[in-house]
Amino acid sequence: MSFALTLKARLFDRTSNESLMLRYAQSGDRALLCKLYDTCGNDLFHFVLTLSDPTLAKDICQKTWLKVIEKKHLYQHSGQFKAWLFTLARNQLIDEFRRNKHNINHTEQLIDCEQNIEVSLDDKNVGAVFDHALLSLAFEQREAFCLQQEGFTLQDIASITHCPVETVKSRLRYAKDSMRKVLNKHCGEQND
Amino acid sequence: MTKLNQHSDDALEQHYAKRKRQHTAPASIKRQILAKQQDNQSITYIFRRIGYVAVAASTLLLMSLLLIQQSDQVSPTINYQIVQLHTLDTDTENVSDSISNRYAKHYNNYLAQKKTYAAHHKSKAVLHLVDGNWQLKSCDNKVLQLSSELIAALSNIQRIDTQISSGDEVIIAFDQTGIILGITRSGNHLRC
Repeated sequence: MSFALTLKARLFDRTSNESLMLRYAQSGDRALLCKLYDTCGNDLFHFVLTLSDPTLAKDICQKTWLKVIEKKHLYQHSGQFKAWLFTLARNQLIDEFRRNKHNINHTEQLIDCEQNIEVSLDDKNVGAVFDHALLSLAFEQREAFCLQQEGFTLQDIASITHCPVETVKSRLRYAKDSMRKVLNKHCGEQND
Repeated sequence: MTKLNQHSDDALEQHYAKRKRQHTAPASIKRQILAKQQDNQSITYIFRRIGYVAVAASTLLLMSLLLIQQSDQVSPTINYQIVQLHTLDTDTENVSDSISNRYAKHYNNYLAQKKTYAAHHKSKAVLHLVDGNWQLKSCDNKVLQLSSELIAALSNIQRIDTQISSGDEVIIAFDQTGIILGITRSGNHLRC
């Protein structure tokens, strides 16, 4: 029984993102990078897309993965690969915002979204309402919510966003309350 | 956490997962990343090959330099000494036989010396100074005249006691042929 568990743990460890990244850092094997991308590529893109726009998200994702290729030797075994990847992406995004003096709460997008939601609400499109609720959140609350949905712990989120755990808790509480309110307001029956 | 909040969180998670499925990363990102990885790998491969060639070339250069340096060094002129052989030892005894013979010879010499020393150690006499000449008078009334040359020779090899004076009892050491080897003062009185 214990042997089977050990074997399973070893096999699992070998296919984990961390193991793949370590092996990629040593060998530079293209297949390993491909596996890592297949595992985390969509998660990363969705995270960055939620915090920016499709064009910038694509750009940031490319830059982040290129950084993984170029800085693979800097990956620390102690850390979770996905957390490292998301930290790289977030830092790139913040740099991009600073460079372009971008308002991180980008109101234009919200206005567009607001117009779309009026149309969608007629169709009782819960997805559109959820999008509206998510995008209307403050940047910090949105990123905290997204990171939690991606499976990160409070400690991980605090580490990625460079803020205390209590602040993360507070942001998450506000984010969820705000989204619940929007969802209940526009499609209360469906949400329940 | 209340049951209502738990239900609401589950709903948020479902909406988030649904949104994520709708917003997948464009395939062009993966293509570009893998192409970049391929380039990176090629460059690494080329640099690695250059490194190998450089190491091999420097090793060859070092070895050739060492060889050139060795060949440039002036070899010391050897002065041969001509030895003319007129006879050859036909004795075919081997080394161990030679050593055994030498040992036997030296041991025989040692035994002979020991025998000589023991045989003549017991001769005792009284030393007298008569007309400036030293004489030894033994118990059997033999008188031995000591020449000044003998005394000087014995003094040189420190085989004569310098403290002895006329009337002292002495011990005379002879060799096999009767030659005096040494004269020392006797602690006991001569009793004939």
